[in-house]
Amino acid sequence: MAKKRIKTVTDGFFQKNPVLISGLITAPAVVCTDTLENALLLAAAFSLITFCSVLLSLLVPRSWVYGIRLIVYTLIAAIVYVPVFGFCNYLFADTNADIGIFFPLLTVNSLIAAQSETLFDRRNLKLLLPSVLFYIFGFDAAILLIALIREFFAHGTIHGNSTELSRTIPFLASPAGGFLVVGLLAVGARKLRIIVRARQQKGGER
Amino acid sequence: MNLPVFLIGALTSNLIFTRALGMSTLVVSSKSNRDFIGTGLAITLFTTIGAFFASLLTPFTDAVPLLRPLCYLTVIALLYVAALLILHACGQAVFVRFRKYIHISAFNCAVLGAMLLAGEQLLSPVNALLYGLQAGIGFLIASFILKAVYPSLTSEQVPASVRGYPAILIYMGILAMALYQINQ
Repeated sequence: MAKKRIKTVTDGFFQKNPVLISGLITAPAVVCTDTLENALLLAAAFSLITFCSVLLSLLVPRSWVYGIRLIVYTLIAAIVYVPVFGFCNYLFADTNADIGIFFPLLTVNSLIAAQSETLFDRRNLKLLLPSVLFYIFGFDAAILLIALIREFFAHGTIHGNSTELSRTIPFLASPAGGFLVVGLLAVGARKLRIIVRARQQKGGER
Repeated sequence: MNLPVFLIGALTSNLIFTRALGMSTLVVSSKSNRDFIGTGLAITLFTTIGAFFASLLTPFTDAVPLLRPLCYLTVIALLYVAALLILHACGQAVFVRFRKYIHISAFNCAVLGAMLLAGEQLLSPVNALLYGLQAGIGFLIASFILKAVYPSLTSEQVPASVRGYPAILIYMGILAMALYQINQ
């Protein structure tokens, strides 16, 4: 039972990764991950907005009708956006403009809005917070990996440092290239999940 | 308004292919004929009226850009409540049948994205209305394109690791690549 509970809490990192497995958050992962710098900013902004918004949304009574709860969740995220934008602007002054509308769009990401109540059991605080954190770490890890690959092959650099790569594929920096890289990484993640699940089943039978 | 130019614009400047906005909703809605039409129409409604209001709010949001998401989400919230009330007024059966499309579509990247882009481009209210309509029709076109091949992409004949979401991303990537070349 305890093992199953731990598995549910950690699912967001790999088994139900919001970018590579369940596809809950696709747009920023496809468009804004052409450089590691953009991905770092996106990861910081996403982590702060999502964690604070989900935490504050616990104050919303369950007795309110679903539609009203949904409105309040997104409005909380829009309020949280204000200090987070200021903080990220301070940390990543040069990069902030690069991700443009994708920064404010984080306020309607699936973990806060549409899927929030499906993914997180709000009655159990002890499980809720680590579960949210694992989803956030899952998103961050996925976009950093995508950005590392795209920046290396598209620009021949890693976090702005030249790698002396003789041939680059600039197309990979475009949204179309983003779709393909995320799609191929999703294939890899699914394959890995199939292998892990088969091993777990084998272990269970023994 | 030149209709062919408008429709070509809806395809080449498509928010799905050029910015991946609303991808997760697109994947969910393309599973059935009814869902893709219902969600597509609801999103078109929200993007059209939303972009119009975004244009009207431009003087305020330009003065306080940090409050732009809050303003736009308040507009979406009001539209969401209005849409649900109108559905409710149409009768219980209609409300139960169609409310899910409103729930899925309102707080969506495509809707907020269309509003942010309309506000950013400083469009006049009429142009913003057309821009929102074009964004919504673009979503419908993308849904239709995905719906046409959805059974193949999720078929048992496709290897398990590629089936479904990864195959959809690769498919959308190939289409986006074609449009990328057209736009160059």
